[in-house]
Amino acid sequence: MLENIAPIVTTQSSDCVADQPPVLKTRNLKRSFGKVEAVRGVDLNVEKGQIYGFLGRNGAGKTSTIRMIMGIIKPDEGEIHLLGKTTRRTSITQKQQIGYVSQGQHFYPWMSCRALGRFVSGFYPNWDDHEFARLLKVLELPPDRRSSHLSGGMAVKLALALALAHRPALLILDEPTAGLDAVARREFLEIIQKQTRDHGRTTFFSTHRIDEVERVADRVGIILKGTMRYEGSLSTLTASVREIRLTPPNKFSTLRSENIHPYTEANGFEILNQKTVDGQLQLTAFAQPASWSSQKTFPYAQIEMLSLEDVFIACAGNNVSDL
Amino acid sequence: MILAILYKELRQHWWAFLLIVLICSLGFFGQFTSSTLSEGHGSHFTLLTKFGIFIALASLVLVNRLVASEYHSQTQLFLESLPLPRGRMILIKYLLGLTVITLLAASAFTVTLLLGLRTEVIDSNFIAYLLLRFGAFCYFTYCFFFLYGFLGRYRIAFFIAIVFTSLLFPKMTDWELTDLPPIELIGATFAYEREHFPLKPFAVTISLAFIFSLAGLALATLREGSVAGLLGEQMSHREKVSIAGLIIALIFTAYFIDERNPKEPYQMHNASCVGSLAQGIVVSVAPPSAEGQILANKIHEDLTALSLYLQIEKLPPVFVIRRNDLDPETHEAGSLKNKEGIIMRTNFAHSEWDFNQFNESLIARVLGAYSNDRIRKEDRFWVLDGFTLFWSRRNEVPQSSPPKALDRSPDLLLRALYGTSERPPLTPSSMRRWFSQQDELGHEITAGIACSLLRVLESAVGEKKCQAFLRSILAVKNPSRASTSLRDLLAPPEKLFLQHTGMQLADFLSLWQQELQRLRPAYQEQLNTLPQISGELEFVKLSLNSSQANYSLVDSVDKSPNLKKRLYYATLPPFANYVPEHLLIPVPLDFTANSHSGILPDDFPRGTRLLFTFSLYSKALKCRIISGWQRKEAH
Repeated sequence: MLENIAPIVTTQSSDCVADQPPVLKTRNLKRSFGKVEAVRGVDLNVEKGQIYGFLGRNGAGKTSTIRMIMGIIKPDEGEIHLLGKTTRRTSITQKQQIGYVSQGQHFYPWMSCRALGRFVSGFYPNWDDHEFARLLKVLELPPDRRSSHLSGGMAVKLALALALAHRPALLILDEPTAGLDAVARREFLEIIQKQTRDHGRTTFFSTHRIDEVERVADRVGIILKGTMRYEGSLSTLTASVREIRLTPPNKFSTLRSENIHPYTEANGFEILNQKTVDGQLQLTAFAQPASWSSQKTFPYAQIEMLSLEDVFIACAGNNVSDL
Repeated sequence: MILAILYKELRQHWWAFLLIVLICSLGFFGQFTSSTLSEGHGSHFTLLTKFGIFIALASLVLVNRLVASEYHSQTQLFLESLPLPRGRMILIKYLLGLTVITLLAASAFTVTLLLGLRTEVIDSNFIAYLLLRFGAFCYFTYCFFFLYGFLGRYRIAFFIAIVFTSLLFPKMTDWELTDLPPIELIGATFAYEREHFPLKPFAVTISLAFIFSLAGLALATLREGSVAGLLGEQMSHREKVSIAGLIIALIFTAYFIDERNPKEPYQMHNASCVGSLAQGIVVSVAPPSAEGQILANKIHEDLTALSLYLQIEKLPPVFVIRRNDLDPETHEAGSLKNKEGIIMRTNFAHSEWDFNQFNESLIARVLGAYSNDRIRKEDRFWVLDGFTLFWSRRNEVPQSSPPKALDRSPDLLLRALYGTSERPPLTPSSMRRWFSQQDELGHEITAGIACSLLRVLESAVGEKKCQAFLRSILAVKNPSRASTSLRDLLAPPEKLFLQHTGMQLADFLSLWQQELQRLRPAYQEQLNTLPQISGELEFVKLSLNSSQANYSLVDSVDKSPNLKKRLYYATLPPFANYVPEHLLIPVPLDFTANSHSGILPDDFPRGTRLLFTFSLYSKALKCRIISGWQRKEAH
């Protein structure tokens, strides 16, 4: 049934500057590991100065996509347009313009924060020692402390400092807040926001937490089982997905989804999810925001807006056809 | 980028590099010192041969540090996140390790060359040969361990398998590891071969080194490094158990195959041959002659009787070679590697050559080979020791009527009486330390004691029970080692003795002592006339590092030339307490004086351990009396 997964919509960002090429754009990115198709054709579009939240469940294909963008693994198919160059695999020169924070931090335990900075500086021509020292200070990282003696939150901050010290054009973060407590997570997200705001930096970050995306992202991409489910602005997403509650006219009649489908399809609605609670049929549907303005579409229906979390669950949860 | 990685590697592993250099330097210096101190060390270039083991050790440690530890701690993921191609990262590590090994090898080579130039005539051709051979060996070793480093959690198991295979390989095949590349390159001919360059082994070594290097690089980059990354992860409990089980199974299988794999019989051409393999007994005597044919028939006849007595279907083939340069009483045993058979060298054409004496030696060899030398274990050696005489002298006619157990061979009885005079009585515990008895009395006297034990046993429990006991010890059929070790442990000779004779060994020893005590008065006068021998050997320093050995002998007044007074000595290899008999050097002693003193012809470097004894021949005992084997170290 995976073949049935299709993008519900891809919208242009409202912030998009039409004459400026995207910082990152992928086309039909595919990657398999043996018989497992981890990424099954991902199309991303990240504009300059955006914070792009790449949302997906665990195992959806977020990390594989990011590793392909970073050139760590090669895509089986597809193209990556990165910082003005189109390629199958990201080059070293392109990589030198990206700041990357990986999912887990694997620093050399014997190296101090300062020593790690010195080591990493050898790989980036634009490395700025003063900026790194400033970042260490701002992020409250003791320069002489060994990386093995850093807490999880401090290690992520150090990774961020290492990723930012060469003033990258694009910052890629792979679930950077995984394993951090609430305070550290909030602190980290604020740093990201500040960096983008102050330096006009483009940030692409993956997560499975809705609240993080809701807090910082301008644009969101939802990936499900290796396929992009949605890409667009947050406001469009929340305005497009609603829950429809259909109550049967009397207690002797039963509502069936099969009866509704021809009706919804004809009117441009896509059912994302459905369930029956106390005889009431609850449908989560996607439609253009304008389509929701007419109440006549669903007689006897009660239509409600959803939180982003509910929208995500509807988009990234099991497709109706999989049930 | 490259400098950053190099700087990181040097900072991370500087102490390991330093330790490697230190250990290799100490190893080289140690080898140099021991080579200088030991006499006849030959060419200085043999130092490089021995240094090969340090190169292997250094490669192992280096690769563990540079590669294995990186993948084990998953820090390669951090490197992968940096703008650094994976291949370049691996190449830098490869080249860095290779540089360290090259520096070590080059240093050792230069020092050895400088040493060699002082004592040998060396031309550029020879230097090139040495350099290529040693260089190829070092490169191969490093490349082998480079690949090994990427095997991650399976590398220890792989290492065990390799060591085990290299131990078993020579046993299971006709090949010696030293005859195969790359070891062949720094083998026996390394320091001396100046004319012929071993091109084929060199080419094989270099090719293998390239293959290992490429395999290592391929493994590191295969599936974007995920294979090496997965291998670098820790072993799960299930894997540990499976690998351990696999290794144990491998060991047992190898032993099983080794034992079950019959060796081909040795082929001796141009010899008088009696019997056939199908019949189970083959005797060949070379060169072919009438005397040789007679000897072959005689040995064949005796071995046939032996196989019937011990119920052994098939004995190892026997090959006897005449050596006219040997003393008539010397019977040298040769070894046949990977071929089945016993090879003996003796001067059977000599007028004083004694078949019985030769046969004793031969039977010990045949039974030893039949049991994979299990009967040579100390706790059961007395049975073999006694049986050789018991069997070869079985046809001697009793002198008393009715016949008594010990009155068949006066010389053997005298040996037993001589060997037990003024000595603590034998106990089951002292029987388990039979080599100590041999050290003090010599193996001919102890064989006489053991023979008297078997004769008394036969008389006490009957021929059948005695035969059953002998079979249980001597006719252990070519067993698999693991099962026999277990069997030996579960059935020690004392237990077998009780099982087959119905007597406790301690009770039997008392009975035997009584029998000897009963006979002792009748032979006391003769015992009193037996010559005694004792002597001293002292090292006297010639220089700081060498000594000469001065000996002095005090014996009885008997000055007969037939006493064949000798000093036997041999240099003991490290950790050894014995040497094969043919390695003992006899020094004839002047028989005209009571007190002899002299100097051994050799000089001995410091640290030499000498095994020696004084001996004389007793006509009454028909064997040698010794002063007792002693070991002394030159300081």
